[in-house]
Amino acid sequence: MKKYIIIAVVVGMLGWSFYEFFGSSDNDTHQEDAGLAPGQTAPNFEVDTLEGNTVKLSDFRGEPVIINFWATWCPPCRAEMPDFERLYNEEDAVILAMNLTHSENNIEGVSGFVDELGLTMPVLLDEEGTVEDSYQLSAYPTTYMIDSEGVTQYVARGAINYETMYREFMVLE
Amino acid sequence: MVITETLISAVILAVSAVFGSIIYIMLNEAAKSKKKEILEELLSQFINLIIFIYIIKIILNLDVFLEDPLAVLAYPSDSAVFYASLVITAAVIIYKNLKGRLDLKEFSDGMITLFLTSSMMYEFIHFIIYDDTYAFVYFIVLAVLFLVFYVLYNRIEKRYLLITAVLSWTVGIVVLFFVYGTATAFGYTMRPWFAVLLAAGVTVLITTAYGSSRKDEKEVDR
Repeated sequence: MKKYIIIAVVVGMLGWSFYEFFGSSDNDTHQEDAGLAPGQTAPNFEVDTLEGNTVKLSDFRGEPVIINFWATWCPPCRAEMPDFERLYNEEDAVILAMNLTHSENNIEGVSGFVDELGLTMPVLLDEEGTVEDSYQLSAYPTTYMIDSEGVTQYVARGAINYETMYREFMVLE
Repeated sequence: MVITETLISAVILAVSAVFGSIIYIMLNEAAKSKKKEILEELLSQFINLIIFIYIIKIILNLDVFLEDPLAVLAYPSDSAVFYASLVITAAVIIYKNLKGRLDLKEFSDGMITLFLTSSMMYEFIHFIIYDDTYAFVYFIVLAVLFLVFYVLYNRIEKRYLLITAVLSWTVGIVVLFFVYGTATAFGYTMRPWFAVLLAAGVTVLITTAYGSSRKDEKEVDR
């Protein structure tokens, strides 16, 4: 009896995963609505960068994009920043480091943080908190990995290490 | 309530460990007390592994830790820390075996059964939650490997079964690494050199365990 239970469980898991894998990939191609869940088109935004340029998410259609929401007062954000910088430099990844500027004391603090960590990736400023609201953030940091079609493929709420970033970026590519 | 990635990972890991333990209890024919003893030992070594991961993480980032402890504690460790912790845990297991405080034969059986089944559940949940292609492929590899392991369980000599399982897993990891550019086990990158080294180490451990138990049996016969 035990034998059959174990086999049934494993075969059941196999069946479910095959169904999810082949069934959901058919659905994904038709899902063009905007939303926050994986498989949905990530909400567009337009914000200024620390250098004073204006950036729109839709400008990056055609290439995978990683949006990392962070703040200087958030210890895990600080910890994962060097790894995002490494991914940006070594894998030529498009990374938009979205600072939650409305929650910072001042913009000089953000500049100081960027200089201290030697960040060269684009730092975007969410000065009014509108992007944070549209992405309904519930944890800091939060990372969205968006494919070349503008569809979210992976969301990490909380810090992730370089290996997870790299693995998910490889899947995006 | 904020549900972070760390909390979700911990729950996935716990569910996987419980699943692995249930399969081990159902599969292994040793006495209940023996199985309980092995599961307790595995849990104890798992806790050791976690403690070593934190200690090494803190040592490697001592300057940041002194300034901002949360930045180090809240950040997931990388594979280098995991490899180092695994080596220290292996040293503890060998030490306990040399001191006669560990039944290495039963322990290696439990460890491999639990590793295969827990990994299988871990990747399955990961695939269902994150729709991760790599997790799907690795899950299929583990499920096939487990089904073969299960069919051969108690049909061929245990040490050959365990060694075959370890070597097959290593081949799977190396192939996945070259196909996907990365391979992970429980979220940690398994580089081919480490997977091969790990397989060699576990094979030596199994051979030693079964060799020494055969020697013990001969001495008892005399």
